[in-house]
Amino acid sequence: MQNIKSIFKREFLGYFRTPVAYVFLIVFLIASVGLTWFLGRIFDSNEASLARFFMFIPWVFLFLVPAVGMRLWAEEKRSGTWELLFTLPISVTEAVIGKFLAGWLFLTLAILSTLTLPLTISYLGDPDWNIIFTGYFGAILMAGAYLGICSLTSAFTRSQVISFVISLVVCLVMVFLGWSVFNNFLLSIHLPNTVAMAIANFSFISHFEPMTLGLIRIQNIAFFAAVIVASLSLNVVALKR
Amino acid sequence: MIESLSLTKYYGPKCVVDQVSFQVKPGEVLGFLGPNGAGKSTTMKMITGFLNPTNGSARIDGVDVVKDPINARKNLGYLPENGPLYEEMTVEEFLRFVSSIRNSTRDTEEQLSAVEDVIKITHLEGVRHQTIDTLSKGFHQRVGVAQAIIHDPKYLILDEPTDGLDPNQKNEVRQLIRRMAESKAIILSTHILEEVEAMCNRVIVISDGKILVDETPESLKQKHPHYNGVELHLSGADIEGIERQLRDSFPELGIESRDNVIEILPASKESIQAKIFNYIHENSWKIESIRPMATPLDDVFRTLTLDPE
Repeated sequence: MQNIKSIFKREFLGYFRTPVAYVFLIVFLIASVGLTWFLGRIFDSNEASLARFFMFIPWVFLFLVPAVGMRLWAEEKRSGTWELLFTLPISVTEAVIGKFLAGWLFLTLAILSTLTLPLTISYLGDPDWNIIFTGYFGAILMAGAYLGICSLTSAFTRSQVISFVISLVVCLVMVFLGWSVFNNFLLSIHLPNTVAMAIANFSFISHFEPMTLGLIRIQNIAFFAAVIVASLSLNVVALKR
Repeated sequence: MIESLSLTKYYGPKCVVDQVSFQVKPGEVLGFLGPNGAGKSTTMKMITGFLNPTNGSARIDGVDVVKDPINARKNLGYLPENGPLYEEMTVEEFLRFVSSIRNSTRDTEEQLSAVEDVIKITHLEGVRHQTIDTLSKGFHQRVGVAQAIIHDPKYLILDEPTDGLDPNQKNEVRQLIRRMAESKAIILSTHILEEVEAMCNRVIVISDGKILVDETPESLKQKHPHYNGVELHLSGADIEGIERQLRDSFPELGIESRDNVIEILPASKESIQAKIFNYIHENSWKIESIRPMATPLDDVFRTLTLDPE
């Protein structure tokens, strides 16, 4: 536990030791809020809700979470510091968890920095804060699942660029499976409804959407938790030498 | 004790380390010598538990490094090749991080004082607030050594500890290692042979993954063809006459002359200096100097590692 804390602290503060964190936070804010305003036209909708904000979140994460996750292991491998790390008296599991939690907390802070949006809306109207809360909860949980995958893919390479691209592709698949356009396509090629449903069930969107509507369901939470646990377990295996 | 038991490593079909076995006890400083790519670093990485051996095993203080890596590493300090460090951290931040893991059983105050101690020992006071990527090579390497000894380990493995340092810095690191040698078992790799003579009381030469030699630096020196040889420097004297007379008096010795120098080699590595000196004295020859012949370990190393045998 003490070791996880040490790893976590080093990794988390590491984001702020380089300009990466600040660039990321600014780009994330511009992208998420910008899309909501200019593409989602939240102001014109005349609704006191964040539905149009949450709608874009899976797509914004698609680019930004790999940007956070790509360095987790690729950078250690490139610079050789993983030799230092894994000759310290810690287990691989502790290192993986510590690093993951640091990235997750960083993403959480980024997500919470968009709280200005609901605050503005509640100043202008009367939104349902329960739905906003479940939406944010879902977004943070989903960010963890994205990051788990990125951490895993980052362990396969010493190049951050390759790590980013692979993460992006894998996450893209995870989003696409539940995208309504893709699901309609599945149905249009006469796949049985149950098969299409089963495929859609593996998507981030299918499990995130209910939370943006105020539904907290065990199966959705379990899905994201399972993705995190599975990818981190594989991550530990991938780091065996 | 550090034990390497038939450590073997294959990268694909290529055997990089072939059944390497040795033991290092406290008080011993083992110099690991070998050409680049001989398998020095790979062997060290296996002993630290960073790489899994294909065959064989390694034990530190009796603890198997594969079966129980965490306990095995507790008493071990390790400086990897090229000293990889977290470049974006300051020296102090980095050492505090290592101390928090290495000294996790101690309380925070002791962890911090361990950092202070090690900063003093390795003379890092002046750069403690600098980020590591701004440090010169010498300071960089010292931070690497500092993290390896921050928990005062019983066992130390240093992969090319003086690589890239200037002569003064090298000397400092050597003194540091000699100071620590009394109570610790140390393995260090190098390809600077004078370093082995300066620091080690045991040397292993490894080539193509196999141990060629495991002995003291002194006995390694004895392998040199010029061991215990004597050089007579003369100028203006009757060199040919002296050479002939020496040959007649000492038929068992190897005697050759070139320019103004006569080289005399013992028949079987015995010391001949006194004998020759007295003989010169008796004959009242005028010579400039008499000195032992140089026996650089470099030559021994070359013979050992280039020899097709």
